[in-house]
Amino acid sequence: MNIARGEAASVADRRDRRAAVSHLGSFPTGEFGIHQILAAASPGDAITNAALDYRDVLRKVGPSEVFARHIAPSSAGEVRPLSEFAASGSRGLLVYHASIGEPTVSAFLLSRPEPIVLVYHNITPARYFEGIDDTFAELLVLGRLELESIRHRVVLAVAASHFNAAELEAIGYEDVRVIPPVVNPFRLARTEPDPEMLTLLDRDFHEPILLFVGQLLPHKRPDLLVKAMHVAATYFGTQATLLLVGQNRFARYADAVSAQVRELNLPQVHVVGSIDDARLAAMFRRAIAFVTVSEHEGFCVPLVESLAFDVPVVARACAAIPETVGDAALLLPAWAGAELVAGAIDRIVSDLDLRRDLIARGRRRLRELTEVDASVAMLEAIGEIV
Amino acid sequence: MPSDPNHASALGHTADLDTVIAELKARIEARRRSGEYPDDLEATLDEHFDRLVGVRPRSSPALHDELQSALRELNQVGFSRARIDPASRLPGGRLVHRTMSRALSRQIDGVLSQVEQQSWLITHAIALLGEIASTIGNEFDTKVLQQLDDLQVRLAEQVREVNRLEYQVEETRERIPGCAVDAWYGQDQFTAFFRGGSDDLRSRYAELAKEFIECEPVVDLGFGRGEFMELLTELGVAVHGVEPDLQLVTSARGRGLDVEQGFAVEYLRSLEPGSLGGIVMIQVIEHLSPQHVIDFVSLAAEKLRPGGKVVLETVNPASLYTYARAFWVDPDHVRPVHPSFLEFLFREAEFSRIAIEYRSPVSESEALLPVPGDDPQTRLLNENFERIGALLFGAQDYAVIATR
Repeated sequence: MNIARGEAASVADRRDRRAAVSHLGSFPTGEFGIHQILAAASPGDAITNAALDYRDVLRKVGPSEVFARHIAPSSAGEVRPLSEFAASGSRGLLVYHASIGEPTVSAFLLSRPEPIVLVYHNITPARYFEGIDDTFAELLVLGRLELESIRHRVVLAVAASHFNAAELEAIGYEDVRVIPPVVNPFRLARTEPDPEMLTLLDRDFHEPILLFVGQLLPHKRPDLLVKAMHVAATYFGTQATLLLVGQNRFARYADAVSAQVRELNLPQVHVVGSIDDARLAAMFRRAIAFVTVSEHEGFCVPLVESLAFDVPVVARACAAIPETVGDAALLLPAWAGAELVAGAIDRIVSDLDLRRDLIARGRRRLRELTEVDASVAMLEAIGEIV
Repeated sequence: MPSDPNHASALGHTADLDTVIAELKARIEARRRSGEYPDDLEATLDEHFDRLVGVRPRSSPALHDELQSALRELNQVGFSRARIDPASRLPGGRLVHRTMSRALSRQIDGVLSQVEQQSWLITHAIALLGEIASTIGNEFDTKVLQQLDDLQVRLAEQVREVNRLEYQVEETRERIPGCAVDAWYGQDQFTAFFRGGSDDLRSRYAELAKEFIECEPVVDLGFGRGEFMELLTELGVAVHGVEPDLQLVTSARGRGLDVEQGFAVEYLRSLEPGSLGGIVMIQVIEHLSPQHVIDFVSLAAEKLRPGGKVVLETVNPASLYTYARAFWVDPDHVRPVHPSFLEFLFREAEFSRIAIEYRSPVSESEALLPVPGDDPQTRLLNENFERIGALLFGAQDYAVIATR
């Protein structure tokens, strides 16, 4: 396995993409196109954003488009339907971003003659969704099967983390490159916070604010956070507010979390739902800590965003989380239950020195993460195979 | 938010996160061991959420929205010959399709029109079904809500009735003589005020205490300030005290006496038959209800071993003076117990020896004075005075010493 992050020092001085691109002289010119394929594209989606970011860089060396099977109306200008992919031409590369199963996309990939670069963003294990949304669970199973079926066509496999790389290797992929996803951790931190939200938080929230950002999905375990808040409030007397921010993708699961909050009588826990960046920036500005007990993350972008806001992180050492945050988080064991998480919540709320220390660590970690330009690393990796 | 986040590390206060985690684990473990968490707290919380996330029917508003959206989509389906794709893989197939379409246009349009009409009817029927389901649901909701309202009204009425009864019971209880009073003053102060100091009482009972020599174990029921217990202890007689007043119990315990809080009859019931050598009950039986007086004597007979003794002292109702000066001073007195009745009870309970000893004579200064003279009229007058005096100024207390 090649480790792009290990080569951080060699690419550290190549922050300027133009300079980097101009050094990549090995790309064929003319009709050679590098196009990206997605199952679904929507604005704000991390994978869509990464694909668009890569496209901007790839266009500097040749034609590059992003194609998707399902496109949200507001992404239609940037992303093209898969059905428009030109039937002719076999010179070029297909970069496939894998995150869920989609039979049409895998059939398309297998029908094409171009070599495939697989960018693996992680496919959540289906077991989390069984009984909650069986159709979605089947798509996840299908996604992993598709990874196996296209393996013989993949010339370069790229994973967002070592955790993801290990998953690919488990199904027979070799020589997996680890390139962290394209993330600008300061994008959100530099967003002007919504003044009304700031006023609301200052006026109505008198207890320290803990923030969780992520879709309300079973593998992110918002239920465990709620349980921990119950234990903290009941047995530790911890006074804190928890904001659960993120899209409620499965109404049934989100309803259960809301019912749990209600039945455990936790008015200090707010299921906020999906909000715009300005409001989210306001919440980050007022939060004293970011807490997550997610069990499965391929990278977890909100952790990095949190570091950019100087907001300390409490998490469980699950999946790719330890390699994303390094030593800049209060990392609980992966098996930590509600009692231990409650203990950590109580500690982070009451221990100012610990929070200061984590903020200092977070700044150092952020410097390490931004030393690698993912787009450049990706271009370099592609440059090696064309 | 700390103003200088680099402050801690700059001062060399960098936290060892492993230590923090270890402390957290130790803290949780200690809490578990000390029983601060209920058993299986995490498992209980898990079961709670599993129940919530389990199979739940979708809410009717959501289903209604879905139905409306499906009906809208159904309505938008258009039927047109132009939408039939003439594409064909066969050479010349497209031309054949077009020719057939033109040739059969009347028939195709006819079929399409019928299908369209049927589709409209089906859509309409489904919409009606939705309306019916919704109406049934609403009617059901209305009925259930009405029933809930009725139940709430009835519940409120019953709560009011219970409150009224509770008040009546409380008021009735307060009016029953002998129902224990809930006094805000200390029993200790009451006894000191009306019965004199402890030294007076000790000298008053010194002789009576000697009845219990070699009668162990002795129980003093309603020991009050514990003077009798102290006398017994000084005589080397082991004695256990029972008293309902917590303040008196605490005070006696502080003086090293072996006591507990409890009620006389209740306590006796809890003992093994024949397990006692002596029972003391000084100025207590007049606090008991008539039923408890009767029960007390039979219990004493049951719990005393043969040869065991009961010594009880109470106000003498045969002296009318006591009604004016003593008995009704104490609001906790239920009724005086006549010596003849007690004698009868002990006899019926087969006590072998029963002695009544009259105590606390009325001071001579309060008795009726004889008329001087020795003539028959004066003697008659003084004789009558003596009879009246005996009735009015008899001994204030009497003691029963009954041997099992």
